Amino acid sequence: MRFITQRLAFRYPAQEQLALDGVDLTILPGEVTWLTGALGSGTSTLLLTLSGLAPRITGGVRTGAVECNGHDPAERHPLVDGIAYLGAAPGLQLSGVAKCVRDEIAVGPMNLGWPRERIVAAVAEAMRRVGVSQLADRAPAALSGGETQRVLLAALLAAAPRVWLLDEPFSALDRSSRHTVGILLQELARAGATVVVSCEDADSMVDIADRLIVLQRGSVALDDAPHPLLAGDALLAAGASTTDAATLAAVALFRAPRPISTAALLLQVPLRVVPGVEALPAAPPDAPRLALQQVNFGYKSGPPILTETNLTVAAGDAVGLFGMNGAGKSTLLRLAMALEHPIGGVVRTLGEATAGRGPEDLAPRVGFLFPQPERQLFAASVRAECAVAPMLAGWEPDRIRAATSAVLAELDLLDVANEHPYDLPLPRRRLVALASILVTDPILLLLDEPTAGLDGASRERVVAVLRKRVAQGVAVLAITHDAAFAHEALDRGLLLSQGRIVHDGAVRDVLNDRELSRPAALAVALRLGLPSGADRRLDVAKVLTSAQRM
Amino acid sequence: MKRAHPFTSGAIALALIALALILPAPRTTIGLYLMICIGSWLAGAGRAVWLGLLVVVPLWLLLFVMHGVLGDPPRFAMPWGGTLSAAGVAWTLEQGSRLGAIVTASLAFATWFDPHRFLQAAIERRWPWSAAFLLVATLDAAERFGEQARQLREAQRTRGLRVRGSFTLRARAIPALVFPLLLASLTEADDRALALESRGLTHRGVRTAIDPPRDTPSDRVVRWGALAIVVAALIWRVSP
Repeated sequence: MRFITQRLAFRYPAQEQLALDGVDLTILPGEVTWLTGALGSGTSTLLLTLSGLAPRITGGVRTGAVECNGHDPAERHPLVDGIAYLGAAPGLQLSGVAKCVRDEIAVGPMNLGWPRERIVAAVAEAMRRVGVSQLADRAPAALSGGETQRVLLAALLAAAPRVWLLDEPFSALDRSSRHTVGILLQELARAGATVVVSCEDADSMVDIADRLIVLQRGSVALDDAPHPLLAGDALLAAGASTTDAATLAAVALFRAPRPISTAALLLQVPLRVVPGVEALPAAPPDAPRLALQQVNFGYKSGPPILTETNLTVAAGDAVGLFGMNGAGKSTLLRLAMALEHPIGGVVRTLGEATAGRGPEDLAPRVGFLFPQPERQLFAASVRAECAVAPMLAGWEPDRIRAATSAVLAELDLLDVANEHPYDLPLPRRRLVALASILVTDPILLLLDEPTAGLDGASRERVVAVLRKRVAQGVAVLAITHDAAFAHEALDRGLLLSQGRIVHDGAVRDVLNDRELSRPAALAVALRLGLPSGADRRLDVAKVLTSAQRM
Repeated sequence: MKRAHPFTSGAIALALIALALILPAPRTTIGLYLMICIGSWLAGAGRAVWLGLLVVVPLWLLLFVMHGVLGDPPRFAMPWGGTLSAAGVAWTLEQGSRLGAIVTASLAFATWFDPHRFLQAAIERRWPWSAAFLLVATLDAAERFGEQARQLREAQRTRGLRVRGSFTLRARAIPALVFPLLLASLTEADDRALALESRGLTHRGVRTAIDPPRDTPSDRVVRWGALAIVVAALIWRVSP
């Protein structure tokens, strides 16, 4: 099915600014079309208008035309019309009428009135292709974020749509799931489907996209094959993210066209050890800010999630917690924040056992970022949101004002300081949630996917904010599937598998593992023999720049 | 009861509610209330009995004060002094027992109610989808709302809001939750609307029941029996 938009413009209710402004596009079947841009560029809104959900469900005013195979999608039902849409917040996309994953996946075909035998076959096939067969009997509400995202993709697949409109479909997926979903999208396109994906993660899209459309302030800024755009300057100038390798090459002042894959970048790296680069001295040992000793945990009437888990996080530690979707990473973070309590063993946060304590006893010295920022915000404005924790801590108004302004400036949120958090797009809400916990200068940060859905510039900002705090002695424990972020922001990596920490070492060792994608800076650093602590993007870029000059 | 066809538990609950309204009070309705309590307990819905008491005891007290204590004469003397309105006390017993029966039967039904099975049964019977979905969504809303409140409360606690401890502390924390919760629910409703639309739940058309619950002959006997009892009670009450 082919989409044609002509002078498409869209304004959300009660918003002055246009979310889309004069978009002229033809999107063809048989291709994977990738939409990207800086935060607020309008990629999510474009997906909504293509699906017909905007303005039919969202409200707002649309001008110009959208045509899908000769008709306006806003006038027809998307599923019946063969259009599948997946929003950016997987937790809110579940139907609420299914008791298990198998039924959740069957919701679409059920609503289309297919014969029962066809539904059963389609559901089994969709679960197999997306790799969620083992989740078939689980309750949808009990799934982790990544599992939910995969189940929803399987649910779309089961209804056999001809158009796929996906908003950040990789945001909560581990590397292996990203690979599976990427291949699936390519196969669908090759089979004649129209696949349009809004995604900020260039590395997940580079190998599967046939076409890249970059939006800037609601208009099409660039439209070409992905490789030339990713290798050039125009994409970065438009505020969009390029691949990790191309970013490193840009920082290292490589001229365009730059290599966009790590393999291509390595071909341009000198094959020798660069002398004079030494590892940073290790931080002196300190009392652990977080310690788990022989911790066992499982939810009521569920399987065990953590088994005799041990770990310590000391002051100045920046630790990444890695593992497959559903490995128990978020649960471990909840235990550290005293949102859950272990069945066996001891969790000590800030030196004291969490038994009998709650998160309010740890705040504001411990900051906790939930995986779903849309459910973490509760004040009337961004500034007020940031003022909650200091107010509860009894700070003076002047101090609160100063701290709030500082953290908003740090995360580039001053322009939206007076807006309601719910009026912001999801990625910016994540930044607001982060600001709201950083404002009180916690000494331990527990972060669940702090960069999911963020554009390149925002990710860099989060990295800088965290590195600054780590240098000040703040301990960080972060769950992330963003390997480049992990490499830039974190020092140590823990790999959680089947309820146990199976690896605890330098983050580069974990990222080098085949289960995770290896960041370009790390690959180059390994080639150059740069030691741990001197292998981040800026360090590597400096070496590459000087190597070019030699 | 959980294994019964969802229409059966619904029919029983509706019949009990109808009987609570039809049967003469207070003796039969008190008997009915006790029967519902015992039946619910035996059928594994003891929690519904306790929850029912939590709901109706304040109402009973209110009825007693309004009608029994402050009601019209004739009044009778109490052994410990003071008087009560005879008509008021009788009315309190009548309405109190009806209320108890209705609330407990409804809560027991809610305990047994499985939204998924009900929806499948409704699809199988070609019931109007919007009505069935509305019923399920309404009954499910409390759980969803509770989950949202829990998440919001957790977020507030991680920022330092104290919600546990004395009654005063808990009461003081309520306003901090209510407004954000309403706002979050409204925002989430927008997102849910998108999801429901894109997953085809608002589509008008014939649907397929994936695993409809078995409707056994005994289920049908129980449903018809419930209807027959209600009709018989009605005839008994209206006959001269």
